[in-house]
Amino acid sequence: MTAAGALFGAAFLLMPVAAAALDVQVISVHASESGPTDAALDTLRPRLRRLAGYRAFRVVRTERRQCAWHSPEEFTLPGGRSLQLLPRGMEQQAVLIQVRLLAGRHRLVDTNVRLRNRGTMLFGVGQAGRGGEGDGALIVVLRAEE
Amino acid sequence: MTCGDVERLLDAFIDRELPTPMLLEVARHASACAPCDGTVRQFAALGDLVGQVVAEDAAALDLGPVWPAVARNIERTTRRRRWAQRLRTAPAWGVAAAALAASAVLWFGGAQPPDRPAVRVAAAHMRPDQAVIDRLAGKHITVRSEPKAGTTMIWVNYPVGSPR
Repeated sequence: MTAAGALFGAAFLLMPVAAAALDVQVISVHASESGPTDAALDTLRPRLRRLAGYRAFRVVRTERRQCAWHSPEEFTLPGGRSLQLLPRGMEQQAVLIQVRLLAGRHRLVDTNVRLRNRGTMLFGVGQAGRGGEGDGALIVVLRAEE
Repeated sequence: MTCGDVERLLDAFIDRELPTPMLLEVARHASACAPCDGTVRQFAALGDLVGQVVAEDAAALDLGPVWPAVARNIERTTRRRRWAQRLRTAPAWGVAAAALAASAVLWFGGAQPPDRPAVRVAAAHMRPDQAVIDRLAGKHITVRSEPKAGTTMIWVNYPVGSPR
């Protein structure tokens, strides 16, 4: 076998490992000052309340996807927004991921985070957080599991 | 101000989200009411516990690239501890409130500056939802963290528009 052939073979054998997927769940939540909270958010509600300052939370959209490493994925959010993810790898039981929160083409957040495997991270969009008026706030729940 | 009022307002009191007059009313009630004082003390103990976790995380930090910022934080922490020592002679509710305020400053340190150097935390110290932000860019952003599970929220102050 030539060196090139051996290299190709090795790359082929490693391919399934490199392409192993990251299970990503993105939940769009509308937060408001009053009203019912969806049962699906019962366990998350105390944290949402403390972090976002609102009292009522409704699931607007849920999407779950297998994302390949180093491959960008875009999740559509309500109100013309989107969440772009680029899973970059695992390190010490943490998922390294680049996250961009966009409003149309306007980049609201661009961050690199290392999120504990099977952990949850939140993004909030709204006016001044607690006590926001009118339309409430949009909260994006991001869960990632290798 | 009744015990029921204090119970209802305790979260906001701990989070320093009450208007100053109401904050004082709650504190005044707690200073004269043993059960409420006990509740405030429990929250203070929780704050100490979280403080220990923060200290453990700090021990795992790679300080090389961030030393100047860490040195400034150490100076601020030292000043806070001096205040805590002075407050030991104050009523229990006062000590509890000071400890909680100091902890809150550590937990909710405000917006992360863009392109902050990576801060590595050993996995063994990570809480279930803990997230470490290696880089953060954007305008009108604050980072909030919930101490128990370590859930992190990046908040953008931006008109929400229609949720649907």
